[in-house]
Amino acid sequence: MRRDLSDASDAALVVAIGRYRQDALAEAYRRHAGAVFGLAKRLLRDQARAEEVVQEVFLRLWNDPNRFDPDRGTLRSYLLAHCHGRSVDLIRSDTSRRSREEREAKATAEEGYDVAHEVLDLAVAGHVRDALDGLPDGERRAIELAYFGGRTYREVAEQLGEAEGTVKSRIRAGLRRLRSELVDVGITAGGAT
Amino acid sequence: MSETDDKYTDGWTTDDTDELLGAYALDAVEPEERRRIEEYIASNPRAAAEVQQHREVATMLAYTGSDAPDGLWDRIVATIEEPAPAPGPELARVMPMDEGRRRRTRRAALGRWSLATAAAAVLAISAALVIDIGRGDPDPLRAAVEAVRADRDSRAAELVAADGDLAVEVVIDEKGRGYLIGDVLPQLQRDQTYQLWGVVGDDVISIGILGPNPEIVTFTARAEVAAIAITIEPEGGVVSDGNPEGAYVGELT
Repeated sequence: MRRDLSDASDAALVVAIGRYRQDALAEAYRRHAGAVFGLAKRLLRDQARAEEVVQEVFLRLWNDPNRFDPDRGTLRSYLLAHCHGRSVDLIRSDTSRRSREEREAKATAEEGYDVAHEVLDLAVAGHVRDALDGLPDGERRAIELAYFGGRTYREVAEQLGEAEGTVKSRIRAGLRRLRSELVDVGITAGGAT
Repeated sequence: MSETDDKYTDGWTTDDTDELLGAYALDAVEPEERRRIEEYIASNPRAAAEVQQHREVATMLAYTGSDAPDGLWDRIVATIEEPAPAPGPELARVMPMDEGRRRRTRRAALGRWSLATAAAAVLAISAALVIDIGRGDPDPLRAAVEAVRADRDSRAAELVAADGDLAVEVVIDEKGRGYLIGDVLPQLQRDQTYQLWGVVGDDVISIGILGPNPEIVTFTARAEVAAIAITIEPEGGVVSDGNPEGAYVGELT
């Protein structure tokens, strides 16, 4: 008789997925598909394409579960990393056909990256919002444009009129600062699950 | 590369690489930078751990608490269970070639290997091989391509249409890092894209979307990929589709 998977760890789910247990994939989907879809939709701003990305992410988990290494992070971060990479790929595919002038439209490009308006009223999200708001402005904007805008650090630098070295340093420093702030309030990566 | 090897021959230092770890974790680097960083973190546990920490932070940024749309899970299950469909008219079109585009005398090694046979069962799963499709400044990428070409352990393919017109060269290094030299491809309409596929056994699996006007594109393909194909698809590509029969294809040798 198969064990109920609702209380299984993510690592145990992935092991079960490796044994072709569809109920394990269903449980992983139940836990994480919302976050994956939310990220894809936020990046792509297109429901249908976001759904395609979610489908790809979970199909890859089904077909190649060994790619997930529980020692290197949570299942959610693994799935979101794949989702982000694939979404950025699609964004850059789109932007490659546009002129650089269009991409440099600063006035509009900075709209819509306000995390506070899109993160729902959840405890973790609230702490994340506070931590993000607490970053120096340059770090916060660089991270938002890179992560939610799908831009390279060079594109961010161009958009913000900053040196490339400044932007890559700000992204790194900002991520470190965010982590430190979140750890201080008791939020770890697993806390968002 | 170890931490003590603090400089590449072109002046790229480990400090440069360390400084990019945050941007790398957010998928915000150029393809050539990505390649170097991945080499670096493969042999540097400290850097790998830092990247993982950045990704965990990004995970929390991404959390929106939204629900996945109704019906999406059913579609995933259907894809898992779906038997391979027979090729049909809804599949990708043959890629056209410009008149006067250069021809090469050597044809792809398709004689003993028939993609049409391999493609009789057209893919069910798109993402198994997808790692990263990148585009970027072609000059450093061309240098990387030259290095892979010169490596006797690398694999290569020439993607050829049924009529013999050669379109694209692909080279893949021993670690599976691939380069597609796509600047000979005709530019597509804005609502179209080239899509790259890998052939594994009887399956044809999406490797990624190349856009309507690719130059040099980097990708990752596992050793099981026996052949590469390109099709033309609607903008954004297709998740589970493909009709290598008639598209430009080449066996990896």
